[in-house]
Amino acid sequence: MSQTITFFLGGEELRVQGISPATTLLDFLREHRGRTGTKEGCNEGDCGACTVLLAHVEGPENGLVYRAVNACITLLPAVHGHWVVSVEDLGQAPNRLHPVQDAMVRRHGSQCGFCTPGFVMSLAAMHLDGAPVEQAETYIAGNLCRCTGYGPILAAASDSVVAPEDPAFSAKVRAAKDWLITQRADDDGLFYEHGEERYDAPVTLDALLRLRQDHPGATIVAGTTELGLWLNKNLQEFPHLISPIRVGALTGVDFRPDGTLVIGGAATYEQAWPKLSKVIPEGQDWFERFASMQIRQQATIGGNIVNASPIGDGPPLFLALNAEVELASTRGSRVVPLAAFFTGYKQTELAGDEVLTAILIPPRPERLQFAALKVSKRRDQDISAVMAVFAWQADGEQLTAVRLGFGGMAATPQLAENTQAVLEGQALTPALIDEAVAALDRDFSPIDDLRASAWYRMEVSRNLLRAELEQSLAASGEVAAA
Amino acid sequence: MSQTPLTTREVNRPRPHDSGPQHVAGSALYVDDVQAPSGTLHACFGLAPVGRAKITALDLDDVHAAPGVVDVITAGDIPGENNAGPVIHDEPLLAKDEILFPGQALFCVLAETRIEARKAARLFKLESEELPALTTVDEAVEADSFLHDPMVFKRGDATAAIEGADDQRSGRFYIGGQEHFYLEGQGCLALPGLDGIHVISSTQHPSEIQDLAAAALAISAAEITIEVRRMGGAFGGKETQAAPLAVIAALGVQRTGRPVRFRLDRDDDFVLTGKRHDFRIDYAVGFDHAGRVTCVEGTMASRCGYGHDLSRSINDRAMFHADNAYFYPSLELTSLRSKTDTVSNTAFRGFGGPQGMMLAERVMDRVAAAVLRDPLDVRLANLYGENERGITPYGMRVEDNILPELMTQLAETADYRTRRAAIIEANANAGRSPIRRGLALTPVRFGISFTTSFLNQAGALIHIYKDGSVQLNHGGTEMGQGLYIKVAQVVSEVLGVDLEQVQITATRTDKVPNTSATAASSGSDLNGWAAKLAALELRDRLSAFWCESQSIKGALRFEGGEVLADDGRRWPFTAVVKAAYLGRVSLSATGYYRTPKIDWDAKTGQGRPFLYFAYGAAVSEVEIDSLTGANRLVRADILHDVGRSLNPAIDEGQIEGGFIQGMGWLTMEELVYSDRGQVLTHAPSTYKIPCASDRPDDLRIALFGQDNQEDTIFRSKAVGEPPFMLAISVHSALAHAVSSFGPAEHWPELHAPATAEEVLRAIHRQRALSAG
Repeated sequence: MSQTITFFLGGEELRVQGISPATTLLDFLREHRGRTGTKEGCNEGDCGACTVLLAHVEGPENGLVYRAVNACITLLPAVHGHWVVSVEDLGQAPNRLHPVQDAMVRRHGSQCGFCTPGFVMSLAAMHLDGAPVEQAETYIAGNLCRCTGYGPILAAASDSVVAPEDPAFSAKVRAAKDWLITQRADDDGLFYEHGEERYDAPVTLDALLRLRQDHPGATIVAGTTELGLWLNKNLQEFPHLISPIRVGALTGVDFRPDGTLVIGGAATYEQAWPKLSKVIPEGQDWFERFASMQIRQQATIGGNIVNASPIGDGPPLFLALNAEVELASTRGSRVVPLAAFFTGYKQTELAGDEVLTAILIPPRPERLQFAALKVSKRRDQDISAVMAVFAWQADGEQLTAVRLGFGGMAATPQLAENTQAVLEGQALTPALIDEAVAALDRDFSPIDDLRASAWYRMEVSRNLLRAELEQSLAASGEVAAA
Repeated sequence: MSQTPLTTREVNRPRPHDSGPQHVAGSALYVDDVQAPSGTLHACFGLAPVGRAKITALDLDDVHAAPGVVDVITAGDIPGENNAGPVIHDEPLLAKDEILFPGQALFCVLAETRIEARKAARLFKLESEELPALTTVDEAVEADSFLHDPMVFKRGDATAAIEGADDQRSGRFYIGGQEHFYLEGQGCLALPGLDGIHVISSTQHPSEIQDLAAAALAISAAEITIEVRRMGGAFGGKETQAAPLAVIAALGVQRTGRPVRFRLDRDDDFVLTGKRHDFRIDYAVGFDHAGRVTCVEGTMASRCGYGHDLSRSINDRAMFHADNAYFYPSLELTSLRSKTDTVSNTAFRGFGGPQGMMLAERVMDRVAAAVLRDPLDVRLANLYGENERGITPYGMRVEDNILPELMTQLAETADYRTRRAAIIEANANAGRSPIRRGLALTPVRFGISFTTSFLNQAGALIHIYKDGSVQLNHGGTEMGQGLYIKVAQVVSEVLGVDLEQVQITATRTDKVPNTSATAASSGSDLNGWAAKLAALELRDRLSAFWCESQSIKGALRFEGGEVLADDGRRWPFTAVVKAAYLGRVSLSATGYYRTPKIDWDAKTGQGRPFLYFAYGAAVSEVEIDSLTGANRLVRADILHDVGRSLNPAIDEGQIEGGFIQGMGWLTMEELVYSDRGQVLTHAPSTYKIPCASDRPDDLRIALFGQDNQEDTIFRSKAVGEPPFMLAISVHSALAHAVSSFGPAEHWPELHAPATAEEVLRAIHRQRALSAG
């Protein structure tokens, strides 16, 4: 059991003690290591200027996996056991630049240069992942640039995907990988104390549940994409943090023999999507627009549900998929329909000694029609004004198992139960569509806020539902005609 | 008019940004990256949690008692003037008796660490009495609350001209403000120096900070030095807004004798600093059956906030550009400068020009729809022309009127007419599809010079050292726009040395004094010339010395690191420099430039405020979804005039960056305020600037490539601001797409920003016209 935050940085193992576990990786790099290449732009994970890579090994072959994350909302203890790669590790100016850095210079990808290290790291992740150039916008969706208009950066992305490996960097990779393999074998958790502050990251579920039970005042933190803001913006203090991210049983994503998809409570969106996409390939756009790469690689689905934000993009989708959540404590575990989990504004069914351990997605029904539609001011990395997720089974014109999940429309993510009742078991007709659309008024009375007016939220909800139903009606007509 | 050489070796080449390699490696230092000496204190403002109010009690006991706190500064602690206002001294550094806007700084904490300062700054207890607050343009105009008198441009009897026209239209629209969102927030580091105080600041205007700090600290300007090497973006937001931090940090040094670092958290930066002015524009236009405008009446009311800042000049510039590229035979334009109890708005790329141009372009679109002509034809028919059609409302003639040629060329290369016809047909046949497209071509004509004439001056300082290396310094600041590399190219050109041999150095008030802000797109025009004059002076000294010592007849040429005589003899530049030093020739020179020809009388509203105009035009194609109002830019074609470019790569970067920033302003960047004037969108989580996927997949940029007719630095033109306004084409194209939902003769009144919600509302309004 390690009591020291241990990780690999700049070609050496660092063993950190004597600083607060609430120290962000960004502050550590800048203030404790003098690595000022990583910048603070917003201190809330929305601009990407602090992007760094965290690398670990996984799988039977000890494959290296890189994650681009926002260092401003990554707590230092979370990098325990990782290789931290910041911009200083890539190459040095002026003559020993990494190919990605070189491409940025040649394409005039920097103007003021402040966002540049963050872009360089996102492009480095793309280069290391061997991703195709078509994914460039996805890789940099979490990086804001106010100067260039992005064209030169996208051009640099095109150049860098075909750039060769950098021998100097590859040598660093080999050294880091050796270290990571040794560490992987030894990982039995992190239990870090600093004065009155604690950070516990156990590796077994039992230990996690015991900690939860023994320390009711402690806060569970996984991806830190929400808690990071409470820390950086509200200046809240968290004397005891418990992290589930090292519990192997909670990060798995697998199908049961009956076809149920079990997403571990500490699995990130990025970890879950390869299998979740097999259930709902129609959700690709939802997944990409949910948040930037940096956030998706950090934020957990479990955290997104437990926070019970009325505007989270995940819960409406899981409501529409008729998901259940598994809640566990030392007393045992129970399974609760997600629809019953949200009990009020940021209120849930989760008891004080419980941890959300899994999200259960039932097998995809036959003839499922599914759409996940996000409405926001900006396409990428924005919080939705309305998230509308429609699921039903269409048998000819008849709809069954109608589930309409909405976010941004009420105090919790919510199903449109009145509207569902209008549609359930009925044959679609233009009149029924009118009736269903009108029923939305009985399900929701949204509010005006800085993202949208109540009028807009209702209007787009009606428009999207109508369009989807009309499309279903037209499709059934075509089937009948055929 | 002097002739420039036909060929240049260094100027006009696409050099990368001088700091490019350091940017990508993370080794370019910004103010917060500079290693602070041990003992450095960290500052944080305590911000007013309420809007306009009378302060009855401010209890700072808990702030003083908080861990790590060393000092707490209040208004009463300022030895000199409690002011950060640049022109009119009406912006307190720290609130005294009254809170003037939500988020105003009440006091400043100095603590051992940044987090201690931030935590302590929230521990105050405020008692206050709420006072009535005007927070919007509508409220301020209704209440006759203005910062200064209206400005009016008149030509002829406008009311009669509109009544007498073949047809008339009128309307009102709103244009939102804009947060700069420089990626590097406001920050500085103030150091106790060996000779007075030394402040490293992220500012566009070091000399102004020097003046304000001297006044606040009750010391002379000579006792304080301001330095800025680079900013992580500014866009006008660091022209005046960097001052409060820098002045307070300097005061902290004066009080404690310790260095003080001050950097705003992003949320505080949003709340505390001014933004682009939001506008309400009322207009009426008279026109003939062919769509030729006979008269325009316009009233542009802006929200200035509680203090003056630069609002007078900004609103003046809205007036200077309310015609954009068009001749209004008769006109009456009025500018109202609303005083509201909100943050004092400030400079932002375009400086009022963009809002003024929105009036002109809205007028063109409405007229075109009314006469059922293609808006491009109506625009071309109304452009400035010859004789009396070449005179602006302020009496300046449009001399190099290249827009007819530029717009016609762009319409052809962008295939405007074919695409517009196809879009109109596709929209008409869209049936039940929710998707519509729109296309628009709009021009830009932007006046170059500070309209406050005395600001049009600059200085430079060049040293040549004994080894032949050259050190360059000038009054302009580098915020990413590539000023430093452009000026270095000028010096390299004149001295004939490699660009790498010219060492660029930080802008400092102790090297070049009394500088103007790097603003108004003027950086390279002013500092480029000043540096050229300094380099010419040095070259002349070297020439005179060398001709005499080598008995050379005729002139010398300086090229490729060599000095060449007409008789074929050549010497290394370094050898000539060394010899000149031994021959006791001064190898240091200053250059000073002031813009010629300009002459503007604000009292009469007549004169020549600008040396010249920069032009451009853009064609934008957009797509909108009528289910949600979601919209995106599909393609844009830009043809822009930078004269003979000093550096085409830098200029193209300015054009694309400005265009996308303008698109953000007009489409997605929405500032939302509470009814007490508190900004609710105070972070990038809620205030959305464009990201990579918002850039159109198809973006084509070309430089127009004609020399500037005026004797500017190597015949170039300014480029910082003008491209921003090319984005008006995006807004116009969105309105075009919306128009397809109703009668063609009615151009929709689309407000800005045209968010998805605003587009959906506009569709509803347009549909209602058909239904009615």
